[in-house]
Amino acid sequence: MFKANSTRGLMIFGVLILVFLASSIAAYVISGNMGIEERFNNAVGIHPDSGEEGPSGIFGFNIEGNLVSYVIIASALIIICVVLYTRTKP
Amino acid sequence: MAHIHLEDGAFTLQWISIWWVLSIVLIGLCLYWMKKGKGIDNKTITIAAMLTAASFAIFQVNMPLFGGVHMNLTPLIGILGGPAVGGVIVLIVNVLSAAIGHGGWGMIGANVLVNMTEVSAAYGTYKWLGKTKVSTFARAGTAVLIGLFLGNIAMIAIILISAVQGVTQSRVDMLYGLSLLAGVNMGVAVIEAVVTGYVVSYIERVRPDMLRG
Repeated sequence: MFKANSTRGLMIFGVLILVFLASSIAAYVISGNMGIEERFNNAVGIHPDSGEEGPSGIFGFNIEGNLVSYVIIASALIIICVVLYTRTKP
Repeated sequence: MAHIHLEDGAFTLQWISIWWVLSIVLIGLCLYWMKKGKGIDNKTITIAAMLTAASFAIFQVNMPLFGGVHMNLTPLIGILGGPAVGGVIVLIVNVLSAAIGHGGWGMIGANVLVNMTEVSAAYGTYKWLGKTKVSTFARAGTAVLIGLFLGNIAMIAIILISAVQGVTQSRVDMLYGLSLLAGVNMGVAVIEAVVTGYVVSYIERVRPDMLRG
């Protein structure tokens, strides 16, 4: 019973993955290659004044927003996590 | 993962206020629920802090897939933290994101509602599938897909209800454009589902006490 349910669950998950993957590829082909902001503006009908391109980043990965602020906030959050973890460690 | 990527001024002040008030009411309910329920112990605070840090860190990273997309781990927040703690986490992540220039301040209310939909739907699906003895990987993965799908629907609904200022596009055209955007988003949801499935399965092996059930 357990095994049958487990396999069926995995199959349903696999089907969902295939359905969403197919729909996303279809949506990408129809809408074309765009960045997040551009895709959003295009979807709602906003036409930005300038066609400035964002930073290319490392291997295409880049940070949204201000990089320095990101590093500062992320570091502060990591420090808070370490302090909390060491205090509550069993 | 669903996130309203519009700048301040896209919605009217009236709608910005309505989404803010609604999100504040929901956050208030989350805080009340946390206090009334099991209470807030040190373990919960530590898990919440870790989820906040992980979500904030990954949310700002633009991945070179389908032209540029990002994840935000909201379903993982729902599965590990539950909807009450999750609501507070998504508020913090949205405020910090706006602080570094990712998303407008006025959009925080609307984005909190979108993210809370993802958190709650993922949590509910994960709990519900727990009764069916489905493997943890499939449970968590399915919860992510359902959560993010409903999050995209919430995002589309909020934009269509609010309408965007200064555009001539009809709501039907907007619905078509946003449906394509949601379709692309669901491609990233597949990646997030697999990643979250592995993370939750791993946590179940090494720290089963972190999972609520």
